[in-house]
Amino acid sequence: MTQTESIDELRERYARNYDVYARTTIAGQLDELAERREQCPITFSPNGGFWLLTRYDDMSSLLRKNNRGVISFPNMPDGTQAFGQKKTIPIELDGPIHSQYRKILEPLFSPARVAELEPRIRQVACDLIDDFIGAGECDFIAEFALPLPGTIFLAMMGWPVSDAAKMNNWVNILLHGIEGASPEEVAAARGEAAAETRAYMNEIIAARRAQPTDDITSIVLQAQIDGAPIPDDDLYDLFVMIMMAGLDTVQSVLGQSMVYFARHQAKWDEMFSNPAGLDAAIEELVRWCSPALPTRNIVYDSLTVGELELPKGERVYCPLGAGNRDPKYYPNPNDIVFDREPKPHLSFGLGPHRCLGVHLARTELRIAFEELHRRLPSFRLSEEPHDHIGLTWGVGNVQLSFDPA
Amino acid sequence: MAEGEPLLALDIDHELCAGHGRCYGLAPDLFGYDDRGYGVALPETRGAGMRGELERIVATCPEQAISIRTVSDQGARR
Repeated sequence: MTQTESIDELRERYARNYDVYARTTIAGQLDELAERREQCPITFSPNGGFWLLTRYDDMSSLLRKNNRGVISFPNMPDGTQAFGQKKTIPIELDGPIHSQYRKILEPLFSPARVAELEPRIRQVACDLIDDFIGAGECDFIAEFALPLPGTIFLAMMGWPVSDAAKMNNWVNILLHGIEGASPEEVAAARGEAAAETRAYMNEIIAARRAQPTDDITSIVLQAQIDGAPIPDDDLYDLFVMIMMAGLDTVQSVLGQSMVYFARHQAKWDEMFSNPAGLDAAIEELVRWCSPALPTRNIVYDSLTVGELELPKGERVYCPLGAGNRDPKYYPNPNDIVFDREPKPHLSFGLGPHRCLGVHLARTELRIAFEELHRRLPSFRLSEEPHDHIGLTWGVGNVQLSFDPA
Repeated sequence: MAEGEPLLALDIDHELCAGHGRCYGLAPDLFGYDDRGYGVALPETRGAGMRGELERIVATCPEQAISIRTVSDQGARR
């Protein structure tokens, strides 16, 4: 490829600002990304200083180049840290240290481990539904979508399940701030939530160190990286990451899906009409919801990204939802089609950083939808939900009403 | 199966596999998994008439880590 322009010239030629925190809907943001995909599939956002991809192929080839051209980058493409950590472990680690972490963590989230958890996940789902089914209405995110993965996370970690409400509140503030508050108030609340989370985790770390059990916390405490135990500071960064990744993504898919089903009730029945197709149907929902938005940093002297050659140090942002709506692989990409050709979606990421909790997420989603469908054959929205665009994409204020049972 | 019909087997490139679990989720008769959740190709073969179905499975791997290999039927299924 011959490309003689300097990086400054290239950035200028492809300049088109993109707002990662846009106050819009997910559909609105996806429409903008679809328009870019048509007109200028790779752009540079001077605001934030990153390249933005929109095509499936560009994202999949970039994400597979981890350790072979790119490394990870802090959560947001503008470089801000959200949770008061120094580094997000393990998603911002690369190379041999990253693979050591994966070797420790993957067996703890393996299909076999997740299968053992199934009865517990189903029990939690049933209990949560029991709590609201008689009322004929529920605040779906607060009463189901967040506490389901939250409770399972606490159980796997070996932390008191009775702390779920406290934990969910911290996660909510860290991820979504506070509705209607000023940026200063949100920053203060985030700082406070991060400090409380850290103090809480430090207490548990000390307790498990004194008296290990067979939970994930104890196993990670006994593990070694480069021949030494993981320092307390890194343990915090690791645990907070597992917590955020496990809770927020599943709640986002549950929340977005239930809003969709409230508006398309025929689809709610269609999804369960063929039990053999349920797993594929859930993959389609995960494609459609795509909560995560990874960023990568180029570390080779030069790397081909789409039709461009980008030099070392350039940062590339992948809103996976845009790749997952690429009409090249998904005809009528905005529609939910349960029996699509099984083109793998990008929602769990690709390459060495693919979602650690992939098996847990699929199982939680399957059980959640099965139990919800069993107990809520029909439901509607009683208020207008609102989407949030940022660190992850999701929906808030999902108020469902239904016939009480 | 016709005498001499080639048999097909599936291989996983373990350099590429990242443990998504699509293969053993979709085709548990052809794939298992290890204790980290990475796919393992079972010692199974299928007749050439099944190529279309196998290609569908190949296409579902997010890492493009699965390939189809033609094996001689000599010694197999005797």
